[in-house]
Amino acid sequence: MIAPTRWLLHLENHLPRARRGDDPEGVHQVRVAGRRLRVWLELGGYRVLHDDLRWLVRGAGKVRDLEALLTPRSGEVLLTPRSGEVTLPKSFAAWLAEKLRIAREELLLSLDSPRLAGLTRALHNLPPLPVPQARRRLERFERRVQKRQAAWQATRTLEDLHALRRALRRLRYAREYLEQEVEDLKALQEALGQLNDAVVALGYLDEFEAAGGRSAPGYRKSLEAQREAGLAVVGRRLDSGSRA
Amino acid sequence: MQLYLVRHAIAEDQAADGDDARPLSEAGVRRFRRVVRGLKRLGLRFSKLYHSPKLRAVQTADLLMGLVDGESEVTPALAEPPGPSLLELLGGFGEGDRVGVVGHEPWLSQLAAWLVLGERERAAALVFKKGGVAWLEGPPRPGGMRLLALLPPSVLRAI
Repeated sequence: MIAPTRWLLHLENHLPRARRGDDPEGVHQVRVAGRRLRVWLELGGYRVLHDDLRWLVRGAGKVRDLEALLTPRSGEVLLTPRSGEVTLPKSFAAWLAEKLRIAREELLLSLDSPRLAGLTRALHNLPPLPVPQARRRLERFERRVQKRQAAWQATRTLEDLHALRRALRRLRYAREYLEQEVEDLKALQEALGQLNDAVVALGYLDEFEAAGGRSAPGYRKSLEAQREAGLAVVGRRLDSGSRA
Repeated sequence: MQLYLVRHAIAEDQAADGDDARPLSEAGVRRFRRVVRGLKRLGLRFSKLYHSPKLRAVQTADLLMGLVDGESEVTPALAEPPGPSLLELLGGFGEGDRVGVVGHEPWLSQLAAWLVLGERERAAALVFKKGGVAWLEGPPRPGGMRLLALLPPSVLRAI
């Protein structure tokens, strides 16, 4: 039997840290637990509670993306061949910090809401899944990845790559529930994650500049370089069929 | 708005983990599937579906998800006597919205009595069977709605 308990407790254990906001890991882990619980629901064939988890994950994701942009992981710097190390421009950082403040306020409302209390209560009530049922459902995850991969190979757009990234992440989580091998998926997910960091940062930079923020050509160039390098790595991995 | 109050389907009498974890019985699932088919034949679609976090309501809501065009949302306000927080939740919808609510007795009858008659205490006037549906119309405030139909599951299964 496969119970959601581990990730439900993971979610509940990280809620206080996410509320305090003194450690970015709190919100990050709430998001991770929410995503993993959605996969558990899908393995069980449930159609309810997905919207509630999506609502939680979205709110946490907004905060997480901004926190990650403002506090790069240790040892992680943006490098370009011509300009060397590039730091976050101050005016852009201040704009992001304000967005983060608003996103945190919104998330706090969610974390203290009756909806979240109802969600965790409902998840505690769900019975564990029989393994054979979950195995049968795993095929849906595999088929979705194949479909998304074919779509990306046909178009090579970032949108289709994003959809493929999500499908791969769900497949990885589903396999982990079934204690199957995921090393290939982890490596690919890591490469896709780095690429996505650059795409998200560029999206915010576009928004900042459209709102009248001072342009930051050096920083933009470094992000574009990171995106292109990420695309090349991901493209090679996917084209060589390393996932399968 | 159109409001559909749905009492959860027939559940097991007890569960090891307490009342919250009581699942639907096999017969309850089987019969409620036919209720859903009846609702589908009536052309019912929900723009939003609220449900209680108790397992029998979660499972009943899950069976209704094929009729939901919008989102579902779990709320503990449906696992307790109806109060202002529930009315506040329902108050955000427009005239054209069709909202479903999956909950428990005696609270669903109290909610219906409150919305239609203006008094929760008059709930005894309504008989709400497991898997039954009450169809209300109007603004969701005390005494602000009209009861259009109170459909027992046997009628819905026969459609």
